[in-house]
Amino acid sequence: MSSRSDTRMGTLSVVSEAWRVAVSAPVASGMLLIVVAAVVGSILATTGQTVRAEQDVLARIDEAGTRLIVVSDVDGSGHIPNDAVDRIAALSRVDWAFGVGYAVDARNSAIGNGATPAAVRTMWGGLPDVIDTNGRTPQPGEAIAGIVAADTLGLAVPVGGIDTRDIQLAVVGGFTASDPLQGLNTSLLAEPGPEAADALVRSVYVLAETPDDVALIADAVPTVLGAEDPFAIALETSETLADVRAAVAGELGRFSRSLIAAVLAAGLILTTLIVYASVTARRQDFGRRRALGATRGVIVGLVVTQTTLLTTIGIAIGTAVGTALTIRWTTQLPDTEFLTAIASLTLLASIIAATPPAVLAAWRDPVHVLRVP
Amino acid sequence: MLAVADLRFRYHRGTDELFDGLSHGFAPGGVSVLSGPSGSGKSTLLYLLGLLLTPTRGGVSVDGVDAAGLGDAQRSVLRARHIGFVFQDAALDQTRPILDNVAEGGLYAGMARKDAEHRARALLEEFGVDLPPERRPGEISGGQAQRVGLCRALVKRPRMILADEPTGNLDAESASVVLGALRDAANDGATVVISTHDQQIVAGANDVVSL
Repeated sequence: MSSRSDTRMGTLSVVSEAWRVAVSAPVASGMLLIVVAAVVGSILATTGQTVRAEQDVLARIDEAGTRLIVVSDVDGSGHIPNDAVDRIAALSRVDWAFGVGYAVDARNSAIGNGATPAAVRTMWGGLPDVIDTNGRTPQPGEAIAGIVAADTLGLAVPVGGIDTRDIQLAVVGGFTASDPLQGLNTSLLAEPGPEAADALVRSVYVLAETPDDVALIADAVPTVLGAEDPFAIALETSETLADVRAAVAGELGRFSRSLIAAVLAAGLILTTLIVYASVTARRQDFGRRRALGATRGVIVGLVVTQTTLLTTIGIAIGTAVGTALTIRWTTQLPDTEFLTAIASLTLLASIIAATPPAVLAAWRDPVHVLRVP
Repeated sequence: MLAVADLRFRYHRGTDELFDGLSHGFAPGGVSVLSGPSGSGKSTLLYLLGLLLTPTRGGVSVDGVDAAGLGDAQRSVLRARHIGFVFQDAALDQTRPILDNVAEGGLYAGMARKDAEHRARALLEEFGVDLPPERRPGEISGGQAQRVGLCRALVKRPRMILADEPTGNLDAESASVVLGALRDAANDGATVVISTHDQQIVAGANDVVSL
């Protein structure tokens, strides 16, 4: 005779038995389902919105220029070559780099010398996505007018001719720049022709991929700039805005984490109480199982598996309800990673909550509950 | 072969010690009866033989293996595989169908649920529980409930059957079915130990231990 492993209850049998027990105790199972669904649903409907709001606030801060680095030849003595723009754009972690030359006055050719001038600047690097254009893309010798500049020049539609002191340019379209290049709306941007091959750049706008990359890129830019006098170059970053961003992210993140922890803790306590009450009510059940040959491990496995199965269903219900509420209130879907994290945490909390009552059930004296007085 | 040697047991410090160094072997192929007045330790001896209790002194051996050297998990596996219990009050799960109750007896022995249910149906039919197997224990009579408990003990074809007052609350017909089944199991080679007050059972036993 031996205690062979093939005489032990298999995992599938434990899962099947746990499910049958769950179905045969609809009140306790229903209560657990409701608690788990309420935990997941309330987290998604409250913290889910907070997380989404946090992402929106941070996105707005980022739009405002947290990631922007501005390199300027302030008094014209630094001499930034125009190919510096491509070298900066090629740096890793740079989203885009856009350079503009020195401003030259330009007037509407149709009005003549009496016309109000607007600044025209030569541009280097591709137009970034914060500059929204209409009309066609300018070719060398052509320009596009910022929304304010077009008004200044008296161009009802941004098409026509402009005169600078030295050359004439065709305006072939307009543009509206948004943050962080909103200041360019007062200018015209001209595509450089062959005569501008050696032209110098007044400012280079550099956008980092993330706020965390700004410091690293700011350190790297002077090494690739190729300016004649590096000491005449000004390099500005939005450090204050970056600090505000970090503070906002920290505060909102702390609030969200505290709320999630509180709801999960409440769920964990309620789950423990429900499982404990269920186990206490089934004293005879566990005593009988032990007498029939169930090991303590099988008893713990049955209770924890039963709780896990019910928790999984509760998570599905809570996710559906929480998602529906979030869509109704914010018209946005909850973040998938956030959903996965909450589901995993809830499952883990349930398993932790079920373990002490399961151990209690497994260590109860079977003879004590089986004896008939 | 079940055996006890120099057996002594007390539930708690300060309570009476039972069995006074009892030594006895329970041979396979026969019906052994534990008899004695209430409180003499009949049920306690069954639980000791079923490895649910540990002796204060002395030992219990199952097929020559001293249970004292086994851990709880090993004793549970021995119980699951080789020992069938018939309880005085049947001890059925009131929330589950009678088919599940009977099949449960085989699950801890490693039987697949399908096989356990197949054998459970056959046993229920053999012992005259001609009710839909979806019925709950609360919907059947005490006699039928004890037959269900008997089927649960037999579902895994155990080599030892321990029955605690199995006919105590039964009508004559149900008692006859239960005793007949236990006698048949003994004739098939099982070791059957019954604790009882019933003098008719004592009279028909192969072996009597008076406590």
